[in-house]
Amino acid sequence: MTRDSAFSPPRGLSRRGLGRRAALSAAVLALGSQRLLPQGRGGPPLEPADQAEVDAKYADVIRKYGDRLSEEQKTRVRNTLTNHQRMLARIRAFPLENSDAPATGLRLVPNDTAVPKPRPTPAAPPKKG
Amino acid sequence: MLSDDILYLPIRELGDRLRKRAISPVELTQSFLERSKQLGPKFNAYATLTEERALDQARAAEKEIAAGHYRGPLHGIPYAAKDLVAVKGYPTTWGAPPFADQKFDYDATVIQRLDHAGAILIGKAAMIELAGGLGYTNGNASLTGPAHNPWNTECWTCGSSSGSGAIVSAGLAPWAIGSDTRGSIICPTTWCGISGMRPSFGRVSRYGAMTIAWSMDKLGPMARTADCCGLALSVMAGHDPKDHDSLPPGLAEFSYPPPGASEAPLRIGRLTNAWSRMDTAMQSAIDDGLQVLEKAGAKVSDAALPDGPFEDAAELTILMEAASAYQNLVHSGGCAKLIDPLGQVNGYVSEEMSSNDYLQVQRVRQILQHRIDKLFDDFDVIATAGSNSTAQRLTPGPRPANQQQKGPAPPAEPRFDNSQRAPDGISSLCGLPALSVPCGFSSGNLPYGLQFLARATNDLAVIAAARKFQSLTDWHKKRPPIA
Repeated sequence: MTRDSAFSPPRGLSRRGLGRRAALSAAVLALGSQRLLPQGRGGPPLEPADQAEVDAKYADVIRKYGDRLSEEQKTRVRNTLTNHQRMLARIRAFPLENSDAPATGLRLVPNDTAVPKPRPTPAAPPKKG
Repeated sequence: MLSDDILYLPIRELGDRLRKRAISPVELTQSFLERSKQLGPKFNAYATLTEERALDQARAAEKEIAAGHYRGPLHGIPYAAKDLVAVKGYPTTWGAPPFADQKFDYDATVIQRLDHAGAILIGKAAMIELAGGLGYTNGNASLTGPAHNPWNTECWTCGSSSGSGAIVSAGLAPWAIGSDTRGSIICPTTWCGISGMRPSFGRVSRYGAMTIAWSMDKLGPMARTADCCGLALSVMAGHDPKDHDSLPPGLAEFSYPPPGASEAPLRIGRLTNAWSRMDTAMQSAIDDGLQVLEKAGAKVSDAALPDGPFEDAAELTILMEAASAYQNLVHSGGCAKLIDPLGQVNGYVSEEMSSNDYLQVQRVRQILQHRIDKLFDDFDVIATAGSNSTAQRLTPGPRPANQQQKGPAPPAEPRFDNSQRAPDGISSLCGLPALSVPCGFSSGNLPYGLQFLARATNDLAVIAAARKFQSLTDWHKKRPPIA
């Protein structure tokens, strides 16, 4: 079975969830997706494991930065963590195999060394006579 | 001051007049500067005008052209650059209060290339703070205040290249540099009724430009026509060893053939599953536009975006790379000075994602790249709306500390929905070129945009499709009602 045929899009959104999300952002849906980031409200409840991960991350943010944050900001942190977690859950559900390499890679420096230069042809021995 | 009819000419026609000395670079530059001073504040279009530099460049261009040394299609042509591109000696604020006094002592590679071509920088375009790199929730999130759309000043321009969109639309410059990590050229292009292009990833050097996400940031032209974009890109593009992700020599350069060169009939895929919601009048405008191309010989058939978590992968890549790119700002607490309440905390949140998550996304990304690439075996370009709405009204929102009124800031509303299947998620993740051109107007006289996308590095395909469309229609010649 190929990867493509095995893959079912892990949207993770029920119709109800989709509807709720759509309603929440109805006023500005049209903004497209130009780096206007979600606040995490709406959407279905997280799976327990995902919720536990959000709770742990939230505790870590508060441990590191809590003294900088107002109560309103702490709420925003939790909501944003929740939204990120939904995206992570869908990515983690994508089937991968050992040979699936990341879209990252080392490029040698300087770039022009990437193309090997032809070896110089050895000079012919001087003819005698 | 030159007339509006001159100032709204596309680059090719301005260049012809400059080369024939029917107008002078100094006269042209002074006219755009004057218009920018008069109208720029109305739209919050500029961060800075670079008047002294511009006039020096204009005088040099005038001498050279008079002496018969014509450098090419941008010689003597004014332009603006988004305020995330370093210009020596001038503020480069990244649109954000923490960087309001920032200056660099060097020029970005793209500025150097344009200098060499004789182009004239007249100003730095306003933008959304950090180009939305740490997130934002509305158009107020800019050091210079919200950009106002020339078609209706109660509406936003979209972002993050908000000033670039307003400048070109209002005729304050013939073209402007924008940047696009995920939609930041295509959306303002569409809402402002202009022609704008996001080139293939790696085509234009980002050296000297602010980073949001190394693997997704692109610089590109926003202009009157697709042909203008082609001319500007031919100068902007090229290999740069200072940019780690620059395409290699021979591939990075963009050789742009003139209009009228023989072109094979286009195979256009009409996307049937992009955007889960779209206004029916807008959809009709898109369909009408594609019919125009079909009648002119293009082969148009339905196409579908492949399945896969493209939008999530794009967003997570940006979040994680941005958390690293802005780590000094986040760790120092400087993000508290950002205007947008989401930007103030998003760095803390994104830091919580793991290196394993990042690698997982990048492994998925490679597979998704192959899926979308396969679609272009059957099509030269795929087409859809540039945005699924017209320009939205500006709403009251957070302001910089020195502009705040008493009382609590209005709450930020959610404005992003990955279930939208917005094509910019796919194309940005996979580094595809895209170009949006005007294709009609709403009943409220706000522009619609028709967007073309092509296989990675096939930048010419999107220009050719849009250029063909503009040779058959007049939407790009409409001007906003500026009093």
